[in-house]
Parts: sequence; C-alpha cells; structure tokens
Amino acid sequence: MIAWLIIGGGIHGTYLSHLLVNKVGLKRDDVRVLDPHHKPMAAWNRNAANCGMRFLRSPATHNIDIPVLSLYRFAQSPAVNGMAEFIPPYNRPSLSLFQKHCAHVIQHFHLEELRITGRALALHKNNRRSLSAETSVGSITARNVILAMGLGEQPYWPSWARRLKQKGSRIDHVFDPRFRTADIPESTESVVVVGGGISAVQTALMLSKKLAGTVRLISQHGLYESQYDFDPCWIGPKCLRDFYRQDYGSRRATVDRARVGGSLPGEIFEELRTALEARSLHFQKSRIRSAVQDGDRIRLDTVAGTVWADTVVLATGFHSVRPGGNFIDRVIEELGLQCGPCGYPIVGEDLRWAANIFVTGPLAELQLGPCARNIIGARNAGRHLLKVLIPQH
Amino acid sequence: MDKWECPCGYIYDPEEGDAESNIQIGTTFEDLPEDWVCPKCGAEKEFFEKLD
Repeated sequence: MIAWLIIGGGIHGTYLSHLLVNKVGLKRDDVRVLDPHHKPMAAWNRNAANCGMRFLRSPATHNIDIPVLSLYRFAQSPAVNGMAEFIPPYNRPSLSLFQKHCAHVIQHFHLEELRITGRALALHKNNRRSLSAETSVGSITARNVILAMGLGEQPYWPSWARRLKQKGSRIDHVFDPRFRTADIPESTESVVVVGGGISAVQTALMLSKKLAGTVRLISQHGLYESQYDFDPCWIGPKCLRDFYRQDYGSRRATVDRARVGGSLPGEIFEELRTALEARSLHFQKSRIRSAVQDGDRIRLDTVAGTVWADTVVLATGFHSVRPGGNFIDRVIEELGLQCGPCGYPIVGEDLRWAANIFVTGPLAELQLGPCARNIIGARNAGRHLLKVLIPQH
Repeated sequence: MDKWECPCGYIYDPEEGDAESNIQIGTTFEDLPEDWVCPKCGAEKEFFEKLD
C-alpha cells in the first residue's frame, strides 16, 4: 500500500507529487501519480503549443518547483537566455522558458519515476484507513488520494459545431488531442477561428502568419486589454475572506464572474491591433446561430450575416462542468460525497472531500476560488495540504 | 535597496513605495509595518521572497 495516490499528472499533480516527496519528506515509494499520458503535463504542453502561446499569462513565481523564485534562478543559469525571456511588468516567462524549467524540475527530482501510466476507473473504500483505485493497469491501494483532474479532456463544443462535426465537416477544437493547428495546409483559403479568449486570439494570430488566405476571428464579445484573466486579489486573503462567507451557490457565481473572458495582456492586444490594421486578420463580434456544409465550404450564419470558411477552428475553451467524467460520478455515488448546486465538491479548508480524499485544480474551485485551476491554484492547494501533513507549517 | 516579490506576482520596490497603503518612497521592505499586506492579494509580509 502506498501513502498517497495522486490521480491526474498535469501541473497540479506534478507539483503536489514534488511537494509530498521533497518538502514533506515522504519516501518516493509512498507517492504515485496516475495519469493516462506518457509524460507529465502532456495535455497542458500540447494545448499551449496548439494555440501558439508565446508567453504565460502568469508571473514567474507561478511555477512547479517548491522555491517560489526557482524559475528566476533557473533563468539566470548559463543554459538560459536570462531576463530576455520575461515580459514586464509582472515578469511573465516565455512558454519556452517555463517548459524548460518544468523539464528541469521533473528531471532533477526524478518526478517521472513517480508516475504510473493509466486511467482511473473507480475508487473503493476498503476500510477507514485505505482506498483502492481500480485503474486501466490494475488496482492500486493507497492511504490517501488526491483528485487532480483538470478540464483538459473536455474542450467546449457549441451545439452547432457538434452537429457540423458529426456530418464530417472540417471543424476542430484547438484543445482536441487529435488536432494539430500546424496541420492546417498553408494553401487553405479561409479559416474561421471561433472564441473570445486569449487562446482564440493567439490561434488566429498564429494562423494569420502562416496562411496565405483569410483568417477571421469570431467572438461573441469584444476584446480588451488587461494583464490578468482574474483579479490577483483572488490569490490571497484580500478577496478570499469574503468568498468563504458565501454559500456554495454564491461561490460558483462569484468564480464565474471573476473569470470573465475576453481580456488580453498588452503584447497580444497590440499584436492583434497591428494584424487588424494590416488586414492580415479580420475580427467579427457576433454570435454563430447555425452552420452547414454547403458544397466544399462551411456556411456560418451569424447574427451579423453569413460567413464562409474552408476550415473552422474552435478555441472556445473548456466545458466547465465538473471534471473527471464518469469516474468522479461513480466516486460521488459510491462514497456519498457532498457537492454544491453546481456539482463541484464541497471540501474543507484542508481540501479534504472525505476522510482520506483530497482535491485540487478545478475540483477545488468552491474552496480555492477563481484561481483554483491556474498554476497558482496548485501552489495554494499545496499550502493547504502542508497544514495537514506538517501541522506546524 | 532590495525588491521583494509576493506569490501573486506583485513586487514591492522601495523606489516606488506603496501609495495605496501610505508607504513612502524609499521605505525598505524590512521597515514596512508588520501589518502591511500585499496591495494586490492581501498576503502578509512573511509570504514575500527577496528577489536576487
């Protein structure tokens, strides 16, 4: 039996495995990370590359190592091109630097050795002291389980888009694991990118540089400049103090309000403006009502008129229903776990969902608030877990 | 004078002070009042780390 099984090996699972071994001091054999991908953070890395991300939205202190300044120090090492890889004023690292740093941490601390490649299917309570995870690679018995699943496996498909895909049209989601933006032929005459967030704009900008044809971005709302995708007050007690006084229904509404899309950091907003002025990219604020395949092309009927495309790329983010799918549904039913009106876990301050089941990432949103799913959400979850594991911390 | 960074990304720079909290320009991090908190996220001084 192992002490801790983390289900989900993205940024959250990888960081918490590092914390358990190298901060708490648990034996390496006592910690395992179960994840269906062969590499840590595989879905995050794929999604970041697919939407053409160049710089992270978060500052360098939001990283997967234990010391908060680790990424800065790494940037100063001879192998890395130092501060040129940060965007001021909040020192956001380049994707390349962030990924190099993650790879360095994973390699240096041998975090890959903690991983088991497989998918969780069910979770059974054996007795008061242990749980058994039924997985695609056999059963794993653990004293504690951390559920660290993200939204990465549930890209959001509007109903018109689903219908179009079912009919075999050239429509894909930028976060679909089988899709590569780079595979869109350069000769494509017209591409429509649908979405109103930073990923949609980055995808549209990337395609506008690559393709000779027309690239059009359609968003339901306008775009504006803001350094953050949520107010940083949500990272600390400034806003969370009031959040904890709310009931769980109100907490969900607060999280949704705090994460309103459409904001772009300065450098992307500027790049977008330049591309629009040069007419290498077109922008339409409109809602798509329906779409049909019409001969070789796709006809999109929007509130503002008809738009034609050879290919449609969705960058509509993730479906925000509770992550974990059937696996979490079964766990809730079998173990009688408590959920808020939105279906997300109701957990304690220590992120405990049941005696020896903890959550992180979006599953912890009703406790950690709007930043739960971000990198800083993993670090905040770590702080809460440390209080359980090292009471004097 | 040293700059200090909050986990939320806010950097306390003595050359700027913190007007929002009536902290004058030139005040070192060590001289900030003990009840001073990050103006962005509310974290207390103990959560800050000195930038190299």
